[in-house]
Amino acid sequence: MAYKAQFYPGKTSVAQNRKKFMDPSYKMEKLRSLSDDDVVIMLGHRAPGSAYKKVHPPLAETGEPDCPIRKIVEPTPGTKEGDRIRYNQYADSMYFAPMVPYLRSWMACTRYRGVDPGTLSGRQIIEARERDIEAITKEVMETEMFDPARASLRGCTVHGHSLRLNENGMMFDMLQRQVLGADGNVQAVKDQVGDPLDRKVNLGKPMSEEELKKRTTIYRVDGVAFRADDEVLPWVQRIHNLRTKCGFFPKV
Amino acid sequence: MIAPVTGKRKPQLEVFPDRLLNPDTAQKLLNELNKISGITRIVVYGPSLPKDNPEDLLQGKFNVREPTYLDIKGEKVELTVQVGRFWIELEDAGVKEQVREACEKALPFPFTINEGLFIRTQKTITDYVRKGGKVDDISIGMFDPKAKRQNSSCCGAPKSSNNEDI
Repeated sequence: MAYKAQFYPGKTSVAQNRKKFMDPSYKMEKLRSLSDDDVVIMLGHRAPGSAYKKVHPPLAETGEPDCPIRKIVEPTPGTKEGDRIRYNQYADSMYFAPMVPYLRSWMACTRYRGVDPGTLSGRQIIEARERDIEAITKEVMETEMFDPARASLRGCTVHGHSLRLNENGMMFDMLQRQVLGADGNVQAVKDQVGDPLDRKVNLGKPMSEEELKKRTTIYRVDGVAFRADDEVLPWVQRIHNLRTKCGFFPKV
Repeated sequence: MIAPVTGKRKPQLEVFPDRLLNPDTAQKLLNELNKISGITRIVVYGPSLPKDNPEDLLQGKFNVREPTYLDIKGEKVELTVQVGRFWIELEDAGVKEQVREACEKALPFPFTINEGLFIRTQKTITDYVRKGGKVDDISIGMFDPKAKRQNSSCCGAPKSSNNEDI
């Protein structure tokens, strides 16, 4: 019988959302449109229109030795061209954000190639070749994985994840990279490290509370409780149990 | 010997709103609290206030924020934090209900009120290091212990003959 990846256990809405974000065959729903330049200026790694900086010549010109693995693995576009490594980093509010840091890492591993994700308590970083990271950022920020009020691109000064929300529902940001305008649209006014942008980037309207609760991947007692999921809890306990036992008795 | 705090201290309340307050809402609540006569001290607490005003940022203006002031019990205090909670010291527990009513009037979202000890009641080593112990009873616990150090009494203090400015 062919094995079919389940990606995540559970039948609750949170578990289902986690599954679909990690499943590369699921096409994420597009909620807003951003131009390539919008993404480039928000990342702040290079000026829009400028050439990509290289760390090595294009692979086609390097004349690498013959290797069976090289024949199997197709290099990503950034690798082919020899781009340098850049990063994007997100902070997600614990108040029903569409994504959680760990899920962003799992999602990066299952959906994209040539990435190096890293998770901290309230933020998540992905490193990849420059043009790959731009493509990944664009896809994430245009789709249901991103909400302009409860998630933001934060290269530094990320705290805000566990703070209470501002009165207008925006996640607290010391550097105020994203600001809610009077028309209800969120505008990005600074890049991910807090340098002012030459122009604003419209990220659209924040999701309503109901919409967020429907799309969230966060277990919370005032939403879908972790313990409400009969499949996830034993699964987490089993992993904890096995790791603990193997830690004490490597022979087991 | 230091006398125990128990039995001597005044009751204290913590108002904990569900959201971080805008300066306007914070002032609205303070206006209501200022009307209550049984309050002796109020501390506002929260994360540091962002450097810019959102409206300025939307207009493309950066680093132009004017200082904002709060009126707390008739005293003009510069707002340096985004208000997340209020610590209130009362003359006696009788005005607790009035505080609740003030919060209900001023806050447009839910809040909780906790009772406990939030503002310090005794001098600590910090008071001696920063102020040379010259902190009167009403000022104990009323300044930011994380504020940048100026004229401390011990290590790092500027050399002066008699520490007059402490």
